[in-house]
Amino acid sequence: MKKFKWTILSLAVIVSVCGAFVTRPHFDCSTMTQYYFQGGVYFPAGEEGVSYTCTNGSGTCTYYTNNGITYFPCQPGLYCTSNCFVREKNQTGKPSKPATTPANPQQSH
Amino acid sequence: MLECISALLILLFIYASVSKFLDFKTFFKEMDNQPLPNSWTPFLVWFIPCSEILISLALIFERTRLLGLYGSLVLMGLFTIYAILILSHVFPYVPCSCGGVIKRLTWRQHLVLNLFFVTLSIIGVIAQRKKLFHPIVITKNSFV
Repeated sequence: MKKFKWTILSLAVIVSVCGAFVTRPHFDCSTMTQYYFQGGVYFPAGEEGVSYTCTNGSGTCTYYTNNGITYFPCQPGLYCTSNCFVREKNQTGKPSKPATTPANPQQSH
Repeated sequence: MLECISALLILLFIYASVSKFLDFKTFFKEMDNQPLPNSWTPFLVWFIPCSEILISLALIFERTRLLGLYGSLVLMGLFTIYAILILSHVFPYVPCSCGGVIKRLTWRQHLVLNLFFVTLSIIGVIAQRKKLFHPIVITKNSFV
């Protein structure tokens, strides 16, 4: 009985560690420069957690690109800057003004 | 039954904590995304996974299992309250959820999952307390 108990607990530890490794993201697109899409143009998104956040919602929050021509979805959700912080502006340490005025907007293809 | 409850909780906590450490940079960003002060992030990114591992270790051993079950109840209770606050729109925005494949769940599904594990922890606490404080008394008549 004691052996059975230890088998269950050991199995739980092994399965959870292996599961975490298996479901680990292999390519982390969030390490690349992030862009948000607005009006047919991709703009640099800024620094996540500082200039913008991705809130829960359907759609793509940010995109990344390898060549500046093709953009791929990266983070799910809604791209959100000052419009997210209406109620608790400046209380959470989050930005209270829009993230970026894009210096180099890039056309979508 | 207690071992099965402990195993399920260990499965959740070890999976969640190892996933966070394996993708620590993303986890840090996701914590920054939460509607909590950003100054809390450096503390929370270590406190949450470390407490999950400590609770799992406590759940493994018979002598510390009750402590582990209480810890699991408190942690899952806090996560449940947080999910309720998110769904009630108490915070100015709804952030993305995090932690391995668990991040694919919606906040409503998150709440259901949390409630399941809170219930499991409560059952575990009751069963373990019964086992520790009301042991089966074997009397002379038991063998008759």
